[in-house]
Amino acid sequence: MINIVDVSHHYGVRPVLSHINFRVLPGKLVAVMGPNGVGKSTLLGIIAGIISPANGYVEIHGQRRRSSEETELQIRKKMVFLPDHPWLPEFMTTREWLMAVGQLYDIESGHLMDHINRLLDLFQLTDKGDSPIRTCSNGQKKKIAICGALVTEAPLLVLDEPFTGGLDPSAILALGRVLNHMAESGDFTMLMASQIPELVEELAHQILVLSDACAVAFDTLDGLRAKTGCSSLPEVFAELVHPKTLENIENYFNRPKK
Amino acid sequence: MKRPLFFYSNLVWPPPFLVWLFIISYGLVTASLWLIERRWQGVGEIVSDTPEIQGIRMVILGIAAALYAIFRLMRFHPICNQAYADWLKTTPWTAARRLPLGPIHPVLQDAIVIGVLAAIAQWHAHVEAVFPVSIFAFFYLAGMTLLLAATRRWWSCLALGFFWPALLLPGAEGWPSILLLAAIIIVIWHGHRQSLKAFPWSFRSLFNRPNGSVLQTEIKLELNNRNTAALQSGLGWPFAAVSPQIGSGTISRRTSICLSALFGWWSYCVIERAQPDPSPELVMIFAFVAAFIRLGTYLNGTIPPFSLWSRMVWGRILVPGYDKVFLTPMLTVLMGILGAILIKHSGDWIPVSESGVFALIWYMLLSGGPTLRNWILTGQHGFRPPARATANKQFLRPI
Repeated sequence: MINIVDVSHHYGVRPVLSHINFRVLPGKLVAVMGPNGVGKSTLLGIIAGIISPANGYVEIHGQRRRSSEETELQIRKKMVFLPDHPWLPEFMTTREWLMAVGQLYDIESGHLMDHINRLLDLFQLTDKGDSPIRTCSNGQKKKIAICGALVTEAPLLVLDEPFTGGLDPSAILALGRVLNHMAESGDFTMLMASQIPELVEELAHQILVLSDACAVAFDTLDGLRAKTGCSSLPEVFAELVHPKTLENIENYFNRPKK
Repeated sequence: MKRPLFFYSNLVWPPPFLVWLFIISYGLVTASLWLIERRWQGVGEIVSDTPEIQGIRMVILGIAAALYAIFRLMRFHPICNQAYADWLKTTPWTAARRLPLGPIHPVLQDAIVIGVLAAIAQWHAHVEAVFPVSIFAFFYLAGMTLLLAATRRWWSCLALGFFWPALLLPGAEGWPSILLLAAIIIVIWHGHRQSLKAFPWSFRSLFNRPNGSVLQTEIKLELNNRNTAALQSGLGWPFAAVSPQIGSGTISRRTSICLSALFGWWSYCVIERAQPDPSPELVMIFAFVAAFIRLGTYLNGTIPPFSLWSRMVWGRILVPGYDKVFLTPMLTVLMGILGAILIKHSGDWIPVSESGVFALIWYMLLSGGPTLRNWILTGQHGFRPPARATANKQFLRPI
């Protein structure tokens, strides 16, 4: 379980997150949505331990982040973070890097090798398995980073825009199915920032909507629909974040004729 | 089939390239003098006895003796050859047996090689015969000391760390120096036996890693040793920052005390030997630089939670979770200043006070909290992603 308690953060004097409270229950996939620059990545960074919040704290399975060396290492072992722009050591081969990442999480070598082969097959990276990462395209690098997150088998996944970054349609399909399978298994707790409504509708158990540094809604899709009276997620999102979006669209097309 | 002893002995002789290097360099000097003598009779002999020519011969003889000592260690010690160590692991070899490729300890062949150099020094180069012998002994013993460190024989290294600088002390001449040398040899011999008994080692050799990329090598190592923490820093973003395994260890109190005492002792021996003027400024500069290096090590790759401006605006002048990193460097600088004052007023006890202050500064730097591990895991700071991984530039600046 991930428990975010009164987390606030600001860049300079600009508040970017203000008193955020929510709880991700075990086995659930929560999608974080919000306008660009609202603080989604900052929130995920705080949960992942990359950023230290100005106020508030994060608890993972009842253990508070950075409270002690042992606690922090235990949390890190349970959690993996996929940033929106991961950086991979380009001189390593894909397989070498995935092996090293798996070993960081104490995955047994035989199982790890097998899992890596399956992941490389899944994301059409088999040809690149033994090539240096620098020879891969941006989309392939994103796929490798996703494989790096999945190979850890960590029960807590924090994924920042996993479907962007040049992924081809088959990779988006594969990742969607993998996340869906993981969510259905109930063994993985996931927090994912995404701006793709179709995927959020398909995958997320709950949706957190951020706007103006605050959490404006945190509910299931059905709950959000009931709350806003809208049917589709884009409309729900527009209603919660930019209530005048539909009106603005109308105005745009119904401009007065000269 | 038994091979004749000569072939085994042959391994200990210097390699041909070293022999040719010596012959060519020494021969060039000798041939030049012979040509001069042939052209201008009597001049060659005069030139031959000049300090410059003697100096050149000394350098050639010294380099030859030093290279031979280094060759003896590098060639036969498994810690210098990973392929050899890997192969040795697959054999029934134990420390009770001879090393298959040849001995590390000095043998008769060494006496012959160094004897030849000593003979050349005595009868041809007009240099004291003991010169190549002492150069060989110094490089051999110093090399063995380093190899003890490479094989993690820390107690032997600590003892040697105290014995070696003691040779610099003004009182360590004549018999005391012989006793010190004997102690150094005994410690090296004992440490060497212990290091071989501890084989197979859990760490890699220094050289001759298998072919392939460095990373392939590292991964093989980690697969064998389950010590992935060493790889952590090279795994990119974000694994380098929030890895579940941390390479940075904690320096124990015992290690801090040993290293500080060692540093203080080295300072004392050097000061006693050189008898420099009292230099309290040096202590202060040392404290400043050391504090700066420690701070740089800790802050490398991290982002402060608040900028100075934000601290003022938000009224959070002190952030204990972050500011704790400044405590030890500040105390170190303070100790440097107080130490400088103490040295100024210590009269005849300057070597003692100066080395004591150096030791205390070291102790403060090594044992002062927080430890690097504690700071990485519990400090109230963010982690700086590599510039190429920063679409979200806000990660890069303090709030």
